[in-house]
Amino acid sequence: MSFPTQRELVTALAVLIFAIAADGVAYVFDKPFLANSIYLALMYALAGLAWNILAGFTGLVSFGHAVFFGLGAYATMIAMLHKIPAVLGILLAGGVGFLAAVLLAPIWLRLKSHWFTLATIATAEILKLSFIVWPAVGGASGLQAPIAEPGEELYYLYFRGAYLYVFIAAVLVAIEVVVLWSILRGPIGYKLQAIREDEDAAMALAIDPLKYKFFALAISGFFTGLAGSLYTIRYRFIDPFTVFDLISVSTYIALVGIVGGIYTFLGPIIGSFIVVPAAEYVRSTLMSIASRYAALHGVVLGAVLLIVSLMAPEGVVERVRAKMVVWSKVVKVVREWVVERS
Amino acid sequence: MGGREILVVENVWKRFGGIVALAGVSIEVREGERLAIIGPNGSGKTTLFNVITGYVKPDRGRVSFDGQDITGKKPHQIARLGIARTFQIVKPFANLTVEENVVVAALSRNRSVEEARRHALHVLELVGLYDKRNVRAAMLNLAEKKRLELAKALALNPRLLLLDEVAAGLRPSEIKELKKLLYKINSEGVTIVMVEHVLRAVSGFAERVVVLHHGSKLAEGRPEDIAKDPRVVDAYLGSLASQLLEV
Amino acid sequence: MDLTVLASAIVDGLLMGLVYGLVALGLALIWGVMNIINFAHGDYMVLGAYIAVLFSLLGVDAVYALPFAFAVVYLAGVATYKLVIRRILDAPFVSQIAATFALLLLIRYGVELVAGPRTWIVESVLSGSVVRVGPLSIVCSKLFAGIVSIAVFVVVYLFLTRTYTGLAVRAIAQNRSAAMLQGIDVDRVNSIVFGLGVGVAGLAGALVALVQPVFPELGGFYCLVAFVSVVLGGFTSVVGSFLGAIIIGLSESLSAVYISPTLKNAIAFTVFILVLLFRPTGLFGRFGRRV
Repeated sequence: MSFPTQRELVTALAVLIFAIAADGVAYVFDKPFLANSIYLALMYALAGLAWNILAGFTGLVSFGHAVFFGLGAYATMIAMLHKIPAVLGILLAGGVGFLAAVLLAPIWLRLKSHWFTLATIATAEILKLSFIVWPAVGGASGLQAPIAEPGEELYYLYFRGAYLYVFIAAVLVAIEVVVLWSILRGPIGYKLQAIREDEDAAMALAIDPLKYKFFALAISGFFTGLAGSLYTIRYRFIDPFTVFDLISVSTYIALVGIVGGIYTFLGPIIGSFIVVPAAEYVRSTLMSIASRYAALHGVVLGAVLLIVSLMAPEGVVERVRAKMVVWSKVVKVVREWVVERS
Repeated sequence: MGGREILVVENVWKRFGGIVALAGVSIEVREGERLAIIGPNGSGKTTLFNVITGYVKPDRGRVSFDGQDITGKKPHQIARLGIARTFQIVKPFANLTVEENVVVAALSRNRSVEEARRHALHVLELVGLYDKRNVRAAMLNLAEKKRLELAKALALNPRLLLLDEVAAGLRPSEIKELKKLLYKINSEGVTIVMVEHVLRAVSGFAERVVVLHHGSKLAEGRPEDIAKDPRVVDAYLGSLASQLLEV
Repeated sequence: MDLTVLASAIVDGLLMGLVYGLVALGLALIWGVMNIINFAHGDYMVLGAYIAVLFSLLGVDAVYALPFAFAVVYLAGVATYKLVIRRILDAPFVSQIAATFALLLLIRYGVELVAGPRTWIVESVLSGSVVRVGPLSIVCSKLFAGIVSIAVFVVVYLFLTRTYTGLAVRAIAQNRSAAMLQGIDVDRVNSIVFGLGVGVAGLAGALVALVQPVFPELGGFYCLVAFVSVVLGGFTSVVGSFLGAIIIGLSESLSAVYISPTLKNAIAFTVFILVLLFRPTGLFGRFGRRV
């Protein structure tokens, strides 16, 4: 049911190709806003897919993925400040996310259901507070990336607009899609879902829940760390309030998964490409007409989350798929009827 | 009979708050045997299974499997050693299909999903769920869910099979079919211990019966002797006795 | 550090702990009866705080806002139950979290949309006055908040133990389907419980407005404190969570004096994780379900 299908892999890659094409169109017609929206959608898709290997496939719902995102963002920033090439900085972000997950696992994985959720929120808040009072990482005032001298653009991945960054993001998402797709279709996917459905029953089938949860958390930390690095290379400035934020990071990552549908592999990608561009559009229009756009943004986010969790808890992808099944049946009946007549 | 002891439970005690669930139970199971454990609700049958399979730690006592002490081991470690169990309250992976449910179990013995699937389909044929293999497990009726429990346990290729009230809630015809299947499994060398509420469910199948009462062993013997055992009859006077001992 | 500092830290922590207790009590009540974790609990409290702000803007002393804060938030809670909570009682866990999290966003940013992101300071008759007990000086508004909290706690306790509805509430908490078979209108009792749970938090919010500045994100911290208290108190125990909250209040004020005031919040978070790890059934956990 919820195992990733061949068609989902193809669709995911098609979405990425479409994103790159749209980015090209944005470049030709000089639409920086469109390119930026695509970039953000890819960034949240990267984190959302990583989030969902926990929520959808293991049953651990995190509202604290800002932990990995924020640490990843800081890792890349600090790497660049030490004159390390940004590409290595991105890899380092993944490594730091992975390491954070491994270190947090003994604490988080002792907890279940809402306790897990609360612990993730609390951890992200503790990290935010610690970074605020830690002068070595810039404290509350944050860090600014080095300015690339001419010729150093590739070294520091310093480009104008979002256009070229979209390629980097798309490549990272593509790698993630292929890796997760093949893992989740194999034995590990079966075992993770068994744990999600019933941990006691899974143990009776010789599955060690802790081992597989640990694995899922580590993978999730790695890719969410990468997503954090995407923030740094594009926006060049980070502070604890932004990259460890409960709303625009932790909640947003969960939101794209929930809107898309957590029991489907594609869910977070589709969710991200629905939510993020729409939210960006609303935000940019509101910014010009309302002075309190930030608050309105939060309200709209809440309304979307509420409507989805009440009306379509299975997510958009499942909804569409169910509709498509109905349609294909209708088409089949009509076709048979026509064949019979002729 | 004969055969060496595959499972030894020695003087196991378990207390939950003020309630003594197991009060010094000792049971030996010989390899290849068909043993039944019966007793009314609260007699400690399920707790005994939970102790053997590692879901509950005993306060005192020791469980060994194939000569190896398994007291205090985790459930998944015990399952890997070759003890499979079913749950009295069925625990299907509700959102997976019947086939996927059994594949999960078969993966404990097969490295690839393809091999596991072949094994799973074979088991599904054996328990008569092959036609339902693509149905979501949540959609099965109780009898089918019980067969799915059995299929998952069998797919582990266990040496010892612990069945917790697999017959309860089934129609007589279904019970007959189930017994036939269990005979077949047993004849292939799998030791079977089944827990049941009533003697009827195990008669004609079990070679030996242990009666649990208030967490300790009340009687032990061949089914036909148990039905006549004065201690058992004394302990279960009245309507309960007739229900419990009806063969 | 002399004894006066210690004593005043203890008094201060005790009084704040009593207010925390009101917030925690409602969370535990809702949790115990409906098995719903209300992530928006702190934001219902903030609604109450803004009612106190509204009163002082209208020129009415904020002390009079208390009953209104309770009533308004109670009604908001009943409406929330009818519109949202009722539909997620049997929903999968993710939907439950998502829905109450959505409520958090709606209330928090709804408040910000209306009242702006600014911080409000509420003046009342109690502001600025101090009671002297020996060498100690206790801020009047805090003393008032503490006393009102005790009174409200006693009223809620009597409601749960002495009235028919209270009995029904406890019956549902014990066993929902059995209560239904007894002819208890579970839906009606649930709506009362949700209203009461957040209403008491709303009242606590009005008390908070008397003792500290009010701003839209205020609820996050109080919600966390409530969660920690509920964990300390053994999850669904109303009395336990009230006691848990007092412990948090005390440890917070003592750590502010002896460690560092800026790490006050971090201490609550850390206590939270430590308790979950080492005492998963709570300090007074009798009903403690295993985590």
